[in-house]
Amino acid sequence: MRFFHLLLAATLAYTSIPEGQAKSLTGDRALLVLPKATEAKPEDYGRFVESLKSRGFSVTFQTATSNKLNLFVYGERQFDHLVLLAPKAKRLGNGITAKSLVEFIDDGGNIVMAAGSDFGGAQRDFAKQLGIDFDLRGNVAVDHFHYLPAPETEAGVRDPENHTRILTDQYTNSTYIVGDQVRQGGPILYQGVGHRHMTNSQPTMLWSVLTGYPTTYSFDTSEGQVVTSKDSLLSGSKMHLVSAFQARNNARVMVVGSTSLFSDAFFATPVPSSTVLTSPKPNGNDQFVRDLTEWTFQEKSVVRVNSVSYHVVGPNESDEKKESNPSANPGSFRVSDRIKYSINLSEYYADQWHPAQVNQLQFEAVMLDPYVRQTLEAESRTGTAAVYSQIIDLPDVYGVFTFKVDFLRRGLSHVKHTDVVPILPFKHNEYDRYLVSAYPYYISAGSLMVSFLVFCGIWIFNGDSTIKVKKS
Amino acid sequence: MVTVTQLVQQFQKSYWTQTPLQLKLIDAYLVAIMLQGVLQFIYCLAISSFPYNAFLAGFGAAVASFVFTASLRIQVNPKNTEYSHQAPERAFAEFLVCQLTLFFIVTNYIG
Repeated sequence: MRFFHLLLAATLAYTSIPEGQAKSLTGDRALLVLPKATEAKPEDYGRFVESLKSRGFSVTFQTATSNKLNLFVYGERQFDHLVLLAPKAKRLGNGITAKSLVEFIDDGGNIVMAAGSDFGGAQRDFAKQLGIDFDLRGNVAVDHFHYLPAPETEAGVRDPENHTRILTDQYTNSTYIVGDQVRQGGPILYQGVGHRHMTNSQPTMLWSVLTGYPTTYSFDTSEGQVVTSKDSLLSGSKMHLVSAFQARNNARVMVVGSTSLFSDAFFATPVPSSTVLTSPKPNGNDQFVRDLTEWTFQEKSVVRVNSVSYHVVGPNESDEKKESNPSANPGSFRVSDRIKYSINLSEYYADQWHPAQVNQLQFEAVMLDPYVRQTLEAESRTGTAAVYSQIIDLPDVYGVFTFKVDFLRRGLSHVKHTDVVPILPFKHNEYDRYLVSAYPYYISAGSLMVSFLVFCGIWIFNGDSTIKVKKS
Repeated sequence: MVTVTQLVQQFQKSYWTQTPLQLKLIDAYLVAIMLQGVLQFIYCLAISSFPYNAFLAGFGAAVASFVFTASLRIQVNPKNTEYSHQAPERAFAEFLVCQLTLFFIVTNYIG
C-alpha cells in the first residue's frame, strides 16, 4: 500500500506539467503534505488537486513523516506553496518545526494548513505564532441547528448523530478572499475544529474568513462528555473556522480547521436548501476551497504599485527640472508648494492585471507626525492599471518628509510606498522683491538717507560757529 | 501764578533765543525722523506688515537714526559739561560712522 502510494506520488509529481504560465504570482511549485497512506490518499483530494493543476501548479506529494520532506535544501526554498493536510502528524518531515514554517513564510512562501481535532506538534505551535489558538484536543465544532444529517443506513435507521457535519455561510465582509460566487452559492459543509484569535494577535494581519452560526459551539462529542459551566465554550462568531493571515512581506497563510473541507467526498455531498430536508443542492465547498487557495497562493487580491509621480503644479512650477528629465520626480520641494501626487495601481485577479479599484486610498506627508493626509481620487484608468491622484498643498514647514501611501485592507495585499523628499525653505535670494506693499518702507528708508545727507550738508557748510563761539 | 500758556510761551521764547542754531537743526532732523517712524508704524498696523523684513528695516532705521541723532545732540550741547573735553567734530564723526553702518545694514535687510 505504501509502495503504491509512493509510486502514485512520484507519477503525479512527474506528470503534472503546468500548462503554460503559472497563474500564481509567486511561483508554481506546490507541495501537498498528506498523512500516512492508511489515513488519506491523494485520490481523496482528487478534485482539489485537479483544480490546483488546472491553475498551472506543479503539485508534489509527500507523506508528513517522510524524511524526504524538506522545505529548504541548502537554504534554498524548495516550494512556493505548501498545503498541509496532515493535522495528526506529530512529526513533520525532516525535522520541520514551527520555526521552519515561519522561515518559509518569511522567505515568501504561502501555506494552507488544515487542522483537526487531534492537532498538535509543530503545526499547532505555528498556528500560535500567527495568533491562532486552536481549541482543546478532542473538541470539534457542533451545531444542532445547521447540520447535515448522517446518512441513513440500509435498515432505515440513522447513525447516531452528533451534528458535527455543520453547514455555515457566515463569511466575513471582505470580498477579497471569498468572492460573490461562493456567497450566493450553497452553504459550506464543514467537519472539524474551531479556533479563536489570541488577544495579542495583530488585527491588521490576521482575519477571520468563516465562522459558524451563533448556534455553533465547540465540544468533545465522545461518549460520556457533558457540558459543565467550567468549560469556556468557544462558540458563535468568536469561534473561527477559517482564518487568513498575511505577513508583512505579503506572504499568506490560510488556516482551516478541517481536512475534509478539501475532500472529494465533501465536494460531492449535496446539502439541503434549508435546514428542513427539501430538494438537495450542491454545497459551496468546491468554489470556497478554490477561493481560499487562489487567495493564499497569490492568484488574486494582489495589488502592485506600478509607479508613483509627483510634481509641482501652478505658478511655482519649476521649468528647469522638467526640461532636464521630465519623467523623474523632483528630489525636493519648497515649503508651501502645491504638488500633484499620482500613484498607479494594478490588482491581480482572474489571471491578469486589472486596474485596482480601491476606496479611501490616502496620501500622507510625514515628518514624525503626518502633516498632510489626503484621500487620493481615481483619475484615469487603462486596461491594466488605475491612476489615483490628488492636488496637495505641502505644509509651510521645512524638513525631511516622507511621502507615504500605506493602504491596508482585509484580504488585500499590503500596499506601501514611501519616498523620502526634503521640503526646503527659500534661500535668502529667493524671496519676492519690490512688492507694492513694501514701497512705503522703501520710500521711508530712502528719504531717511536723503534727509541724512541734507542734514550733514547743512551741518558742515552752515558753520558750527555758534557752538565754537560759546566754547571760546 | 504761572499758567500753562505762560509756561509754553516762556519755553518757546527761551528756546528761540538761547538754543544754538546747531541744536535747532538737530531738533528739526529729529522731528522729521520721528514722523517717518510714526507713519511707518501706522502703515504697518493699518495696512500690512507683510514684507516684515522691509518693515523692520524701515522702522528700525528710523528708530536707530533717532537714537544716533539724539546722542549727537547730547554730545554737542555746550550745556552738557561732561562732554566739554572732546571736540564736537569727534561726536559728529562718530555719528557719521554709525549712520553709514546703519544704512548699509538697512539696505541689505530691506529686500
